[in-house]
Amino acid sequence: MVSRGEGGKRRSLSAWLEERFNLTEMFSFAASFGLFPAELDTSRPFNEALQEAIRRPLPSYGRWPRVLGILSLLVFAFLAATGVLLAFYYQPTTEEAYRSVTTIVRDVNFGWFLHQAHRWSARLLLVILLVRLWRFFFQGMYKAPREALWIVALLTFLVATHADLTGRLLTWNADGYWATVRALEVLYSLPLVGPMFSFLIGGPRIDSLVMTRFYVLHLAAIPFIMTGLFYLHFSGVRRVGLSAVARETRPVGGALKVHIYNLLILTALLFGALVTLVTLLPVPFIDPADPFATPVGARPPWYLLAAYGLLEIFPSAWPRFLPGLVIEATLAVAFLLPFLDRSPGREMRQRRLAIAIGAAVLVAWACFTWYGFQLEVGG
Amino acid sequence: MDNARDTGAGGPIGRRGAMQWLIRGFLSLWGLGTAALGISFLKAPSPENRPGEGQLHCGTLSSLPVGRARFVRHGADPLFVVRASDSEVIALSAICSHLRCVLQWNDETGTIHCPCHAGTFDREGNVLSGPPNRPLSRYPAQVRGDEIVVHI
Repeated sequence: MVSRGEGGKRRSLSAWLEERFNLTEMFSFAASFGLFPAELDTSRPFNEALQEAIRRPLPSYGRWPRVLGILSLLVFAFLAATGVLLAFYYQPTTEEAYRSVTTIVRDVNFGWFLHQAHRWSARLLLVILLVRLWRFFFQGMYKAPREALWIVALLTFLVATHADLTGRLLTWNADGYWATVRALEVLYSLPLVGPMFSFLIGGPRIDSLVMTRFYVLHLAAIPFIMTGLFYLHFSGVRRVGLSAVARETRPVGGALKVHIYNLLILTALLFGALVTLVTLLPVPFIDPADPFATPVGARPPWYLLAAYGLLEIFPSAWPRFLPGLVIEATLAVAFLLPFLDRSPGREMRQRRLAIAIGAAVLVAWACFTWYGFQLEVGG
Repeated sequence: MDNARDTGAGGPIGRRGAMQWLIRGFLSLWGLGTAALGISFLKAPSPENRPGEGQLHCGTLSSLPVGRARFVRHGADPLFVVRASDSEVIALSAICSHLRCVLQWNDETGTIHCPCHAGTFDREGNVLSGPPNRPLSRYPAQVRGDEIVVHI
């Protein structure tokens, strides 16, 4: 019952709430986005459940290399916040888009900051997710029981690249427009998956229908999926437990407070890095998109350059689906990696073959990216 | 007691089994129907059905010398109108069949070339050199009096 007088007002408020909501469950849900690394017993009142959970040693997410996960979530949250604010002024039509972006950057207070910060955060997010993926691979974080976490991490990266791709077109500048044209060519050339993309996007001609679909995907569909993926990941981590990285003999203990402080410091550092990037390396002014003039050096976004290079290195007489099959096979192997790798443990010396293949793939990817980059005549 | 009658081991499935089967069947059909509806909704209407398409007036015949081409801006489908002879006009897509760059007409050589990867096409849209491996799309073109009309 609500206890008045004893323990003061705050006690009675939490008790009042505890009678009406399952606070533990609500906290558990929020914690499933990285706030708290352990499972809570939702049948117990919040205070009890929390006390019980922090009595166990809890490694914090704030340590490298674990920090990549929570960092990517923070960047994503920042992207969502800046994105919603930008959407207050952005007009998603082919006629108005460029003008609305110019208004944001030139006339709206701090519009330039939000626009640049949104763009830089997007680049950062992709880099963080990619580095995280490779660190999972090299440290064997896909072995049982973490197979699902690997698949979720791979999906998160791929879905984030789609968010980046859809976002580029929305500014309707020459860069974004032609990068999208190229990127769609790469995507549509994949067998089976290509036609599905084409169906979802609305064809290779970039007209107002495609623009609207990109807008919907970028604002609603993809963020929704990303949120779901992050939730899956952190929920999975809470069930499976944080792994002790191979060299650590026992996890570094910490309580909830330390964890929250880590998060705050991380947020501050991230914000600092973003402000630095935005002010020192802003995107220069780019001309509006002209669908009738292809600029020199039009290329797909950097993450598609390898696929682009692979597509173009095959002789043009060969059917287009062959390199597409190679790309799809590589992705399939990546997804099924936890089930294909038969090595007994997570240590690097136990997974020599996998490490060797992974390193080779990384080098090949870098080479094809370079090749795809230098394909444009005069660019 | 009712359960004993509905075990269905080797015999008729009974009323309960039949109800379950019907309910599952109905729900599956309902689910499939909803999915089909959603996918059908996503299918973009084909360009032929979009309003505003049809006949494009591409200038006069007399203002286009023989052997020259005119670049026509039209939505996402720019095209070249090439005057092959006194009375013959060819309408070609100005989108490169390689990677969809916008092509450029070369007056001196009478060919079409792509600024991106140096593909070249002749004035009928056939590939002359470079990475493209398909000829350019053609549109039906008519000359009505002095007016060039292309059917998009």
